Amino acid sequence: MSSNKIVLTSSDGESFEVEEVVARKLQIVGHMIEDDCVINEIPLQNVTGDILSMVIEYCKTHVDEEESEEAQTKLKTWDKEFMKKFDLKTHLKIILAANYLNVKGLLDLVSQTIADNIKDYTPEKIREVFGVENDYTEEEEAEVRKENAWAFDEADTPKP
Amino acid sequence: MSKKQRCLMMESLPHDVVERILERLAVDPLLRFKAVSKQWKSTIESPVFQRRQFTHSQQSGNPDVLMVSLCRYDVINPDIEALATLVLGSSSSVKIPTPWEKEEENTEYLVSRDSCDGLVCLFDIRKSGFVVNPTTRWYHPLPPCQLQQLITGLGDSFYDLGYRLSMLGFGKDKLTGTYKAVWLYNSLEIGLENATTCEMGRFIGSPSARKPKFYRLIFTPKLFKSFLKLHLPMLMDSISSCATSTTACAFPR
Repeated sequence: MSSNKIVLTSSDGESFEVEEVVARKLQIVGHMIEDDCVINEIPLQNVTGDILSMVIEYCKTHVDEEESEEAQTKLKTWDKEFMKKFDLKTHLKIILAANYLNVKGLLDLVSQTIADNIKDYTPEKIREVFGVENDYTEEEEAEVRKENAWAFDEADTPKP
Repeated sequence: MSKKQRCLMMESLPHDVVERILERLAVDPLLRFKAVSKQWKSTIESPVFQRRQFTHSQQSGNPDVLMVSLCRYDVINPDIEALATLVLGSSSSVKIPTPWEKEEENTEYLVSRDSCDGLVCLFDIRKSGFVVNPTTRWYHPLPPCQLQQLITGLGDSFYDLGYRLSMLGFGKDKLTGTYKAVWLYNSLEIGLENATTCEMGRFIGSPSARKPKFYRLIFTPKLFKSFLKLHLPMLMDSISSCATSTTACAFPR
């Protein structure tokens, strides 16, 4: 396998030198390499250095995806611990980056992590966190809540 | 808005990214999140999204299981109860909800021994049955089949016939993707010309579904009792495909 080095540069000017196999995990980079429009430095306009370094850490760990069950379990444990290091705000930044850079595994991982974290939120809290504007009228919102009243009851009950 | 809340705010995520997150949620939070905005509601209600969400919940490994009683004579011996398990998609329900029931009714429904895509089928020999999604509380009534109409017509004299065996099966037609309910009973016992009758109703599992209609199929006699012991979906598969490919053998009432 090629041991070419590629330099990835973040939007705030931080540079990371990584092996080509690692950079290829970022499908956006993989496509550039296949299209021969890469020399050895790639500017990534939509990602800041702190987030890019997390993405690279993920890609380095996942560079050899072994089939064996043992290796898979180990990776899964690593994934869990890796996600635990960050808060929801960072998770949301990572998901944006993973989406832009097209890192399938990380995108799945962080989507699941966010889903697990927000499942007990109220709609108000969701709007806050996701920056969604409430476009319902008061009556419309009351109607939607009424239709699914039981789902709200269960959210209000503290879970053991 | 407090300072802490404001710093949680961020540029809103592209909606396709939001969908990726939502399709990994269980049904309860999704129903709650319909109240977030109109776009969230229309996403959560779209069939494409629901299919993806269902695939995820199936892949996540731990299906929720619902225990139901299969014994229809538990009045005679309440200590003996046969239990069957039905696999549901993702449900936190412990009781099958029956929102159409008035409080005083309290019908003891039988549950079809097979669940399908998180749907279960409740039936009672003297009443219309219902297909229920215990997770979302969605339900859809089934019209009475010929047998049920006959029973209603006969009243108490029906029991003089000594007729007992009948069963409602429920499954999905893999060819058309529609859900089907099949009544199976021995029509010899109620004086009809053919020994085994199967009535099938089909519908698509959505609130906008057209009213299901039961079709009546007549097929080989004598095997009835052993049919009941078979796993009904296997039977359903063959009936369903025969009814979709050659409509000649099925005739609407």
